[in-house]
Amino acid sequence: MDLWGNLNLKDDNHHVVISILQEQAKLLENKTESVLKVRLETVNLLPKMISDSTYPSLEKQKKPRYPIATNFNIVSPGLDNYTYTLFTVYHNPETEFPVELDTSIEEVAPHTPCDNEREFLNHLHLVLSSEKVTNAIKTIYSKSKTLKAEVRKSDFFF
Amino acid sequence: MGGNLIQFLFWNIRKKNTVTELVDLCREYNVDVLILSETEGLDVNSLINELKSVNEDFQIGSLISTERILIIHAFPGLVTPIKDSKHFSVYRYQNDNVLFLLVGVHLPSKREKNEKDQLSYATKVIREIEDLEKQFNTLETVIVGDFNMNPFEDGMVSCDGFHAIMCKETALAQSRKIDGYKKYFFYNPSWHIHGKATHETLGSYYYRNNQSIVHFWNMFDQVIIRPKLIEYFPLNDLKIITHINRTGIKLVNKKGRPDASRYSDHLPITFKLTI
Repeated sequence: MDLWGNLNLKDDNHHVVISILQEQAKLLENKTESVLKVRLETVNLLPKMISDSTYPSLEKQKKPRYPIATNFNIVSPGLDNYTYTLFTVYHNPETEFPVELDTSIEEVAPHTPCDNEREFLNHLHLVLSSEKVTNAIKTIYSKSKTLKAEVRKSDFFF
Repeated sequence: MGGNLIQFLFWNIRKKNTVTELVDLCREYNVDVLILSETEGLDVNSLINELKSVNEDFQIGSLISTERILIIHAFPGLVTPIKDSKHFSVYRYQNDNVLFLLVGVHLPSKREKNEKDQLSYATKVIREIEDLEKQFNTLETVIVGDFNMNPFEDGMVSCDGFHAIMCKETALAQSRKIDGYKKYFFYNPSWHIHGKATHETLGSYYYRNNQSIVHFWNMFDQVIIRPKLIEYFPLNDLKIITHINRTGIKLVNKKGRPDASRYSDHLPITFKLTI
């Protein structure tokens, strides 16, 4: 007898923000012919000792607003896995929105709050299409490709 | 390890074009690794050209231009950029005698973030650094920069933050267990130069306002090291620089505070590793 009611995890395994990031990651990998990879790095910001603290109320005050940070990391396998964090999304695993988008790109203010999918997409577009991001990707891509070509050349001779 | 002396200098130059002062500082202190933050106003090409007259090996460490953290070095060995992000950059320094990670940080200021947010940032940065330490199988890490926190604040001391403590002997235990979690220490020598009355300055940054608690002299510009590096870190060589002897330039005003109008509201710090 199934007492779990309507619990169906297959249908609910879908986080809008993470799906958008995964889609953009695949697009960049395709555009760079996999010279560059994207790694979504999740960092837990919750203090590990929070539940067992001697001073639970004090620790609660120090609990971060968003307990999870997801970095959008561009990784160059050709440059010894050099990693460039393009932006970070701060979010709560229990809710889709709001989230915060943090980047050093001037087109978007630091820690821009996004209350819904449309706002998130608009701000993300500003970041990904900015001149600074384009230049950064071009630089890493070109250095990665040059190094790859040099390695191939040395393989040929030896 | 043995035989190497690596001299570091960090300065938040507050968007000023301080090429002359930086070259003089590098010459005076025989700097091998120069770490800068807030470099938006700096003529980097001119700085590199001028630094080559001090040591022709000086070069930019970064793969891409980042204004928050810029690392320039003349290190005899292989320097590999590992990671660049908004608030920190990581490099691996390696030669026959040495392998360590250098992290340059510039964390958000107190004008932008409260103490809770600063702890949260510290947690994020340290967890990413710990992942890199695991990846490179090393516990020999130096973190230097503008933490925008004093050595005694939660983000610096908490085991969920940098876990950087003042006591060398305690830090030499490498780690402690809290509720079953093993947490590695950093040693923070910056404690010993904050508020030291016999020194020329009581901190690296001066700030006053009308709030009830103000420290006036702050030590936001710090270096913290993993305990394995303690024996290679001469404590007396950690200094806050207030003037450049060779040119007579004073980086402080008549009141002895950082001369923000001419240079920066932060003073540079210098230290060495003898490894």
